[in-house]
Amino acid sequence: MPNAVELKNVSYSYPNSRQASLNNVNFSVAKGSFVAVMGPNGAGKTTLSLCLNGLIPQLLEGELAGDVTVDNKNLRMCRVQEMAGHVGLVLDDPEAQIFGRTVIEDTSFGPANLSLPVEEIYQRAGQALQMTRLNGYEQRSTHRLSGGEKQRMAIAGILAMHPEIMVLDEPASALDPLGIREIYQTIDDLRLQKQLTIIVAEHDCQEIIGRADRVIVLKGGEIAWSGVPEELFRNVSLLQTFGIRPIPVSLIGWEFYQKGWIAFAEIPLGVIAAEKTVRDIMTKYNLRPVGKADPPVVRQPETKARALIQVSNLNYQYLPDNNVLKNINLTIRRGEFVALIGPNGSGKTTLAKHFNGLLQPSAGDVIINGVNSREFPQLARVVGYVFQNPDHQIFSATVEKELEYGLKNIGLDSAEIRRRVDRVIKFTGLEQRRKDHPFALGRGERQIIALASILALEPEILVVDEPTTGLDWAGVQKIMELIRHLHDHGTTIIMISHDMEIVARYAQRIIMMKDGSILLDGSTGEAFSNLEALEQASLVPPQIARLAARLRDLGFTADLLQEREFLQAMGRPVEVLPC
Amino acid sequence: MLIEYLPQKTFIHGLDVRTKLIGFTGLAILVFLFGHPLYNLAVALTVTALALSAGLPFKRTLGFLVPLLPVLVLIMLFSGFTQPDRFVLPANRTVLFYLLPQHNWGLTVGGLLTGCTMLIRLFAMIIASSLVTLTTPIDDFIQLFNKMKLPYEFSFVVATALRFIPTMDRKRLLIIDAQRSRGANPEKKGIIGHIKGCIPIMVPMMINSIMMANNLSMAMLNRGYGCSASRTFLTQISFKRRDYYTCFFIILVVVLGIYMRWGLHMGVL
Amino acid sequence: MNKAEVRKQGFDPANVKRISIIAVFIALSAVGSLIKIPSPVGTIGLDSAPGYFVALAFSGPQGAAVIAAGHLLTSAIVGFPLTIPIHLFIAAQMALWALTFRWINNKFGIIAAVVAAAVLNGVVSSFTMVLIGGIGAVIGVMPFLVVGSAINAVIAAAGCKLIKGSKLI
Ligand SMILES: Nc1ncnc2c1ncn2[C@@H]1O[C@H](COP(=O)(O)OP(=O)(O)OP(=O)(O)O)[C@@H](O)[C@H]1O
Ligand SMILES: Nc1ncnc2c1ncn2[C@@H]1O[C@H](COP(=O)(O)OP(=O)(O)OP(=O)(O)O)[C@@H](O)[C@H]1O
Ligand SMILES: [Mg+2]
Ligand SMILES: [Mg+2]
Repeated sequence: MPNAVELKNVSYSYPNSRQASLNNVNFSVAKGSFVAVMGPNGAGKTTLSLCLNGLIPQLLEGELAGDVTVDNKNLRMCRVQEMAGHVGLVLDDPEAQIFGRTVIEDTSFGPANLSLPVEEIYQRAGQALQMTRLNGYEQRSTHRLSGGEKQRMAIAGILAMHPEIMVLDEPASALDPLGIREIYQTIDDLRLQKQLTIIVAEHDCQEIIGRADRVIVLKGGEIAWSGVPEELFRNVSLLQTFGIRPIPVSLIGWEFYQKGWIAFAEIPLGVIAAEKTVRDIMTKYNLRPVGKADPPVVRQPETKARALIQVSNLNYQYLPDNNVLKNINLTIRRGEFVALIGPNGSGKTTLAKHFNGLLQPSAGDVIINGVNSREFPQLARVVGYVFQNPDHQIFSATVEKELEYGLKNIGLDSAEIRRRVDRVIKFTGLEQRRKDHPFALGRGERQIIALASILALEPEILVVDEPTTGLDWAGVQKIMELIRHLHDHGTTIIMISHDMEIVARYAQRIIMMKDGSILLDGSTGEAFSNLEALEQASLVPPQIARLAARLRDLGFTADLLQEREFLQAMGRPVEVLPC
Repeated sequence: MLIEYLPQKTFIHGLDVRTKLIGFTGLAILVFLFGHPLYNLAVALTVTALALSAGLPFKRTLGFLVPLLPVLVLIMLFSGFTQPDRFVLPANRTVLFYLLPQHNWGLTVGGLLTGCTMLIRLFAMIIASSLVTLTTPIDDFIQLFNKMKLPYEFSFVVATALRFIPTMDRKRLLIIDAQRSRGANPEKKGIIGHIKGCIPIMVPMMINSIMMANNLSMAMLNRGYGCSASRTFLTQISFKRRDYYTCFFIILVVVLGIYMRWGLHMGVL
Repeated sequence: MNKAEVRKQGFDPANVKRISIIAVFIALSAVGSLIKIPSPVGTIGLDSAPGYFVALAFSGPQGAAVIAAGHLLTSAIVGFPLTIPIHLFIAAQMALWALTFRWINNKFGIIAAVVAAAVLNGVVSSFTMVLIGGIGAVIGVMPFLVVGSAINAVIAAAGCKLIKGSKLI
């Protein structure tokens, strides 16, 4: 089979950085195959995608060594614009890829650049929108689209260029589970109906598995591993070293494999396979499921603890007579770890903004710490709010100064400021970074800086809005361990997240939102065993919960959420997992 | 969207952008032709009538004039105290009173009239300006640039800039929220405090703009920007019959005006 | 077409980079005009700060393009309060001032550049008003323009200083 893409000894370093971002990369992609490029933040995934259509080195100068051949064309020979007809690159930020006021206008931008006849332009655009399930949206204003729709429009705009190869850089970042599913369904369609070659850069494995023919793992700009996905995802210890998140059920399988109960090839990668494996094991070693044992790490909140946040009949509207929040009632007590979940646009952020007075209720009341948020100016000291995107708040020339800003605002004296900055820098492990420019650091570290800048205020309540989007597994764990540590020391945590595995692992209570009202409010266990509520919010429970649900007949309770809990429930003491 | 194009079906909306600009030029000529307020008043009222017919939101437009009020007053005063010999007609040379002793700084009738003229002139031009901007979709301007054979880059930049305004504005709100939740309080004291206060908002905006521009340049090339020298334009502005009629009428009026001023010496002070 | 020809038509990647900066920062000018600073002479919008910033951080011509287009855009938003021809003329002047701003910064340092911006964009540009309102109008707008351009230049300078250390510029 001929190769669609071929890289020979490709090395590259950005003009303004010393160390190489790609280091002697060699690989080739067969026509019509699906290759996933994985690896931690800063591994070089984006850099690699930019090499595949000549943006490197034609737009971004710098040292490029080696040869990139796409469609039997050496990229040194052809301009990027001309390659657009052969290889399409979808960037990870959909906002910056919008060229039209309306959807159809945007999709026709590319073909119009090729100075095609008008009919063909509209024919191409229409077809591209069809492929991305956006037909019917032609006249919609591009600013009225949801995050997922924008992503798909970005794909459509590239499709209209009629490439044979599609390169997608984190096509589903910051989307809700439904949005992610739709993106990947679209990618499947492209493959099946148009026989495109697909190359995807992705953090998350759950979508890759069962789709990709091959995974290439980048680490520090070098290819650390390459092969079939199953090989990689079964090998949990390998994933640890690469900093890629393992599949929850595979962790259970890995445990069995470690015990020598199953062969490596039998490690399950899906819920169905896992069910079979577990049934076999249970019968083979006739294990009796025991009831759920509370995992020791999770601190239960004092049931009669003081109510810190009381929301009563809260309604909110950004625009007249369009309630974004509808009659919300809830109480959050000291020491709780609450997760706010729900689809995009369900009102999670809007609700959370009421907790620190960024928004005032249109109707109803929000009582923070016994005081009505309407007459309470200095909320920043009591409620810390960490926003999703650190780049929306960082403005200082050094990490240190960035952390001082908030403290100056609340009027502390310089000695106290120094003390708190030192403490928070130590706590978040930014000691080496003190004097660095925040934007000389990676995405993960900037996220930590944003968190630290709020922690320095030592708030009693911490709201974190999607703290883990765009972070690799190591970054996710670091952030979440910081948050858990705070929680253990008495901080009340309210976390907004689309990542059900994270929610299951860390939260104690779940508030599920849909269309601006609370769909469900209960313990994590209850929430994830309430399938119809999850269905309504188009959420999928974590794998382990799904597995446990399928094994009810054996006596497993559906409130098992983590592999540890599950293994304990299997009725055998287990060694510590590599995790 | 910040620039409100009022999507309506009035006569003026239907006109070609070029016709509107010709009309605007004609108006500019007329108001600078005559020195006498009454003539300018006539022009101003005509424009106002047109604006009303096009459904121009007067409250809003005039609201933007409030900051200019001191300027307007100063215009009146300074033009009021002009030298009498500047005026042709004796009536206008009469001095009402002198501000300073020894017959200095006299407030003349002609001066007052000149002041009125200037204000009316300004008013007419403002109404006309917003009339053009509010009745013309931005795409028409962009197509005008293409028709004027300006390089495509030019119209691309304008169009793209307008596309990005809502995006940037959303970022602005996000950034303000982020800084407020770090204790930034809007009501700072003193102008220095205010300047200090907007650095934490403006700097992230600049940083985000740079990042967005980097992505934009990549996206442009991915979509084949500048692949071929020429480019297909999906919509075209066209000169319709009504445009020809209107232009003819405008030219007629302007010529008439010039004749009145220089032929019949009307509207002088 | 060959590379040279492409360059002539301004379609080479380097030019695309310039264009994208200009486009995004024009949008920023429009948004900046919504960030208001109350001052004794009236509320100042930050609509020319992006232009001055681009002039410092990237190049004079880019800054000129941004500041001019930014001015036209922001005044179009409020319906050209000083009438279209005047605003066109002012935009042209500001483009010149942006170029001067960068030149003076390179030659005499940032302080001098800020002062120059205040004088040129404040005092000199005020005389444009002679065309529509005589000397009265000039006196009327001068303090506002002086303070406004000073503030915008200062913020541009500060932004440039704070962003220098990163990989971005
Ligand atoms: N514009 C740039 N200038 C200088 N260095 C850069 C630039 N962009 C990326 N780098 C560096 O190149 C390396 C690879 O970055 P790249 O964005 O390709 O990683 P990535 O795998 O895409 O990370 P992420 O998962 O966060 O997207 C990183 O060390 C990064 O610091
Ligand atoms: N500033 C605003 N002006 C008008 N409408 C807004 C504004 N911000 C949000 N909305 C609307 O309010 C609704 C809830 O938005 P919100 O951001 O709270 O949802 P969310 O649950 O946080 O979504 P996501 O998961 O994407 O963050 C959405 O329909 C959104 O379009
Ligand atoms: Mg990346
Ligand atoms: Mg949100």
